[in-house]
Amino acid sequence: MKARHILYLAVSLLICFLFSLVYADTFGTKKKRPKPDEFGNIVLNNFSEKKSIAPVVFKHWLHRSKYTCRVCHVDIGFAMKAGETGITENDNKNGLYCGSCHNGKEAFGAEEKQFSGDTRKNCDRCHSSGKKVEFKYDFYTFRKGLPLERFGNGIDWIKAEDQKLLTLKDQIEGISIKRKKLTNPKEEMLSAKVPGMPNIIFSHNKHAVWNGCELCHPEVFGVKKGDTVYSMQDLFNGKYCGACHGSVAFPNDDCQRCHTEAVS
Amino acid sequence: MLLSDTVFGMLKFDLWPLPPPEEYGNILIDRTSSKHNVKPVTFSHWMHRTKYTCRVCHFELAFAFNTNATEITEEDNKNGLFCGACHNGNIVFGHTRENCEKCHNGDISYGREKFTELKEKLPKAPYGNEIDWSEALQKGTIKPKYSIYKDEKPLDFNKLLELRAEWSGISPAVFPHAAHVPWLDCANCHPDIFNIKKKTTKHFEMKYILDKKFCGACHLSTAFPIDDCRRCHPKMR
Amino acid sequence: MPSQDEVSEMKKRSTGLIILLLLFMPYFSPFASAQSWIEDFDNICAQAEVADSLPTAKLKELALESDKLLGVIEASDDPRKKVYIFRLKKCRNFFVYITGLRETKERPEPRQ
Repeated sequence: MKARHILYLAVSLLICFLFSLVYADTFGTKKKRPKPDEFGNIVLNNFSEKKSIAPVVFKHWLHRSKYTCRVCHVDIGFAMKAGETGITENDNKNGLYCGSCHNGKEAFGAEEKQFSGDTRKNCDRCHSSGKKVEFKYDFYTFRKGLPLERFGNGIDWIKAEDQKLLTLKDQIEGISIKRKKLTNPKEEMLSAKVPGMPNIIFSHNKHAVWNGCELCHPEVFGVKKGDTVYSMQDLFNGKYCGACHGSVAFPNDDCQRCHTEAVS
Repeated sequence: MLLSDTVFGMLKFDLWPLPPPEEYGNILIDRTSSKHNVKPVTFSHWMHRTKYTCRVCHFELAFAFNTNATEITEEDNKNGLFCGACHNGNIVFGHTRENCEKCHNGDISYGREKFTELKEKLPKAPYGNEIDWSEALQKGTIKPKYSIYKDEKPLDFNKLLELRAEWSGISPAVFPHAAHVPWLDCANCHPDIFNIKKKTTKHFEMKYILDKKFCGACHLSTAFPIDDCRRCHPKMR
Repeated sequence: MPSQDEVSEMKKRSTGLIILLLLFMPYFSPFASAQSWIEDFDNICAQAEVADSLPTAKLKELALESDKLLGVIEASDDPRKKVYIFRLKKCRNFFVYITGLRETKERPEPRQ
C-alpha cells in the first residue's frame, strides 16, 4: 500500500507540474517589458550565423520615422513575421528587400566610397546582434523633441506626424505603384467578449494611412461576420491585431487605448 | 492532488516578521549601484502612492514588480525613463550631483519623520503601513494620479470573484476588481500574472503567493500583507 | 598604316555601331521582357486602393488577370520575380476577399 501511495503522489505532483507549465506561461509573474529603444527591434538570422556573421538587428523605430508600413510590407515584399522573408546577401545585391533602399542612394549601401578613396564596409551597421557597435543614430537623441507617450517606443507617432515633426514617404521610385487615393472604409465597432469591458472602436483611418488595404486583408484580418469570435488570447499570441500590436505598434497591454466606448 | 496537499498542509505557513509600519513597502535597489561604488537607492512606496497610483509606475513607466528586475541606469534616468520621468528637475528634484544622497543613501527607513505626519491623517489598518490605502482613496483623502500621460479614468469594471480554497475548512477568498481597478490597470495583472484563458489560473495556492507569485506580487511587501487573512477570506474564523 | 581619312572613317563607323548597340541593348537584357509584366502588374494592383468602389464583376476579372499574370511571372527568370509574386498574391487575395464580403452582404455593391 505504501509504495502505491508514493507512486500516486509522484504521479500527481508530476501532473501538477506539467499542468502549470502548459497553462500558465509566465506562472504568476510579470513578463519583462522591452525598453523604448529596444521595442520593435527584430533579429533576422535565416542565414547570418550559418555564414559566420552576426545576425541582423532591424530597428523599426528608425525606419517607421521615414516610411509608411506599406512601403516595406507591401511594395518591397517583407513578410509580417521575423524570419519569414528569407533575405540573402544576393537578394540585397540585386536590389531586392533591404537592397531596395540600401544601395548607396536612398540609404547607405553595403560598401561606401570615402573621400580619401578608401572603401568603408557597413556590415556592422546591420549585422550587429551581440556586438557593441557605434551607431550613427541614437534613439534617445532622436526621441528628444518628439511627443511622448507610454509604451512601445514611448513616442506618439501619430502626433509627431500631425505636428509635421515627421514626414513619412509612401512611395519608392521604381518599386511602388502609382496608386490612386485610398477611400477609407468607416470605423468599425468591435464588441468585447467579457461583459463590463468597453467596446472597441477600430479606426480604419488611422491604420489605412500607413498600411493601405492589402497589408491586413485578408492575411491578418480575413474574418467575416459570423466567423468565430476571436479573443484577447489570440491577440497575445500574435494573431489579428497582435500581428503588429505588441511587436511594433503599441502593445495590447494598453487596454484603454482600444477599449474606448463607454459601457451603457 | 489531495495527497500532495495533505503533505504540504502539514507544514505551517512560516510568515516572516513584518518590518515596522514606516518601513513597510520600502525597498533598496541595488542592481548596479554598489558595482559603481554608489550607495544603493532607497525607494519608499508610501511616499509615492499618495501622489501616483500603482498604475503610473508599474504600467506607464514600465517598472517591474520585483526589486532589481528593472534595468534602470543613470543614463536612462537622464533620458526621462523610469525615475527620470518625474525626477527631472521640473516635476520633482532631478538626477543631479547635489541630489544623490536623497536616493543613493542605502537607508531603508529614509524619510521616517514624514511617515508619522502622514499616518495621522489617514484611515487605520492592522498590518503593513497600518494605513487603509483603499479607504483613503475612496474617501478622497489622497488623490493619486491615475495617468501622467492622459486624462484617463479607471475602467468601470467591478467583477467580484470567489476563489475556492484548496484546503477544506478554509473559507473561499473573495477578489473584488472594484478595489483594485482604481490603483491598477488591467495589464498590470493580465495576462502575465493572472492568465485570461478561461479557467487556467488555478494555481494560486498560498505556497505560490508566499513565493511572490500571483497575489504575492504585491500582497507581501507593498499592499496590505497576507497576515491580514480575513481581508481576503472574510468568513474565516 | 591607315591614312588619316581611313582612321576618321573607322571612328565614325564604330561610333555609329556603339550608338546602335546602346539603342538595342535593353531588348537583350533579362529586364527587357520583365517590362511588359511589370506594367501589367502595376495596372492590376493599382486598383487595390479603390477596390471598394469597383463593381464585383470587375473585381472577379482582376482576380482572374492576376492568376494569369502569376503564371507569366513564375515562368520568367527575372531575379525580382519572388517579390512580384508576393505582391501580386497580396492584391489578388484582396480582390477575392472584397468579393467574398459582397457575397455575404457585409459590404455593399457600389452604386454605379
